[in-house]
Amino acid sequence: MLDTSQTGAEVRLSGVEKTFGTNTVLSRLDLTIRSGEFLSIVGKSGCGKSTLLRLLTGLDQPTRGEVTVDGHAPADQRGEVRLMFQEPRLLPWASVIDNVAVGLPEGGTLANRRAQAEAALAEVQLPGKAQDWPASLSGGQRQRVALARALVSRPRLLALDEPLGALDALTRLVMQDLILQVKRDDGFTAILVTHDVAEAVALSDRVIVLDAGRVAKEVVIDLPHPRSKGHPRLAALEAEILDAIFAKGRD
Amino acid sequence: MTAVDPNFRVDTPPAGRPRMPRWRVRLSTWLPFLLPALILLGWEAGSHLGLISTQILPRPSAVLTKAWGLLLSGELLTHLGVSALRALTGLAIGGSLGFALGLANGLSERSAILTDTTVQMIRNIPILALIPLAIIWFGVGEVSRLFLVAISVFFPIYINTYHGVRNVDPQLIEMGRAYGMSRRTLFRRVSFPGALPSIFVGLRYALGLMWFVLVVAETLAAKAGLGYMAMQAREFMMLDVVVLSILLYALLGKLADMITRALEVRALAWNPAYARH
Repeated sequence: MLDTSQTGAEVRLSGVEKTFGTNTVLSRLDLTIRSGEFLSIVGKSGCGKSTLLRLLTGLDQPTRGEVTVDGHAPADQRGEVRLMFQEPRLLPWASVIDNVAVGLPEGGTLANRRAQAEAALAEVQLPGKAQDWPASLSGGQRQRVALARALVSRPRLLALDEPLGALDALTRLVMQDLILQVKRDDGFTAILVTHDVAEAVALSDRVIVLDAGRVAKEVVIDLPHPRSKGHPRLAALEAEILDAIFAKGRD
Repeated sequence: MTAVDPNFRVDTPPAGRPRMPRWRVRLSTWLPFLLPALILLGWEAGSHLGLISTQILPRPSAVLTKAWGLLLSGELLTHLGVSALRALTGLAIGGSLGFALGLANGLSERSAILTDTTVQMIRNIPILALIPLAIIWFGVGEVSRLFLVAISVFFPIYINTYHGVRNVDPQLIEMGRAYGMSRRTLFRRVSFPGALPSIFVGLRYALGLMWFVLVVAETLAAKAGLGYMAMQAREFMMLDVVVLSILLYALLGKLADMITRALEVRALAWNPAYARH
């Protein structure tokens, strides 16, 4: 099932602008995300983080400029680009395994779809729950199913829109490790939008701070995984990023 | 309260169902019928003691004897069959039209703008006010009765289907789109199952109205059916038959409700609110 020759997608944004009426959410944004990179986007509420993700996943179109995933418009890449939401957004009337299969492109034999969904469930370490209803799972387990649904089509780009925001602190740590692990196994490019700077620093290769629709700061996290939580370098980077986020508010 | 079954054993319940020991399941099946049974017993006893005049209300045993007689003569089954057929045909016609329009308006804003206001206006007309019109249009016959039943079940099914489709979680719709579902798949996997609980509410409401309108329609110059049987009996002061037909309506209504519930439990097993009943 796992195709190791597959690599992450390269994402390019050139001169991207997004306006809603008179409100400019993103202004002339240029950004390149390398194949296989783990990029985090942080910033205050309303800085345009989620809008950026919607553009990357083809749910929305830029007002000006161009977004490409491996040279194509993101909307053409269905199945190659997957989005994980803050809420699990599982179909309550479908069993866990059927929810995972939602992530597979239409077509294919039933047995094949099942096997792929089961492999994805195994990957997120949720055995024995395939036939359960989502209502019987805990919040963390539901988000695991949502992750399996995002992974089952073997995407080359995974966009994560604060997927751990609603989880308790301990579950969040476990899920962070899980995301790192599947990222290492599958080799996709990951873009994480988060409020949690510590999370961004712990997971990603690069963190960008978005402010009023522009990149206000870019920080490369050049520490190998696994990163120990108390590492002084991480703490310093975290402080640097937090400073950048609140810089505007101080003057 | 109840002696514990000697074979008492807790079965492993199917996923999503609350655990309930066997004897409690059995009890909860029969307990709802305790009150109707007590009422019948009280009524019978009251008649024997002379508290209830049989001129006003015949004894349950007399009604039962009469029912047995009518059953043997085949008369009862004929009337029951005619009524049930009428009810189901009306339900099929009005229900499918209401369902179709509800879906159309739930899925298409344009269709809703075009038709919903009109439907809401017609809905506010008391159905029984349409009887004279139905008689003039279709005559005193089967078509009139079907028309009345069909139109009465149309509205609850229409409204609940429409609102059910409308109120499907928009986050799930967005998820479906983001995951590349086609319009068809989106309907089949997201909109329709999401609307189903509401559609069932509409169906149960429609069933109640269906019997109600059917009685009125059948007392209007029908030649068969439960309503006709009751009207005939009234002419000859056969009180037992009158009471029998009323009881049969209650039974039929309960039966229809039980069938819908069974369907609900099957179709909505995912919903913790339905898994229990």
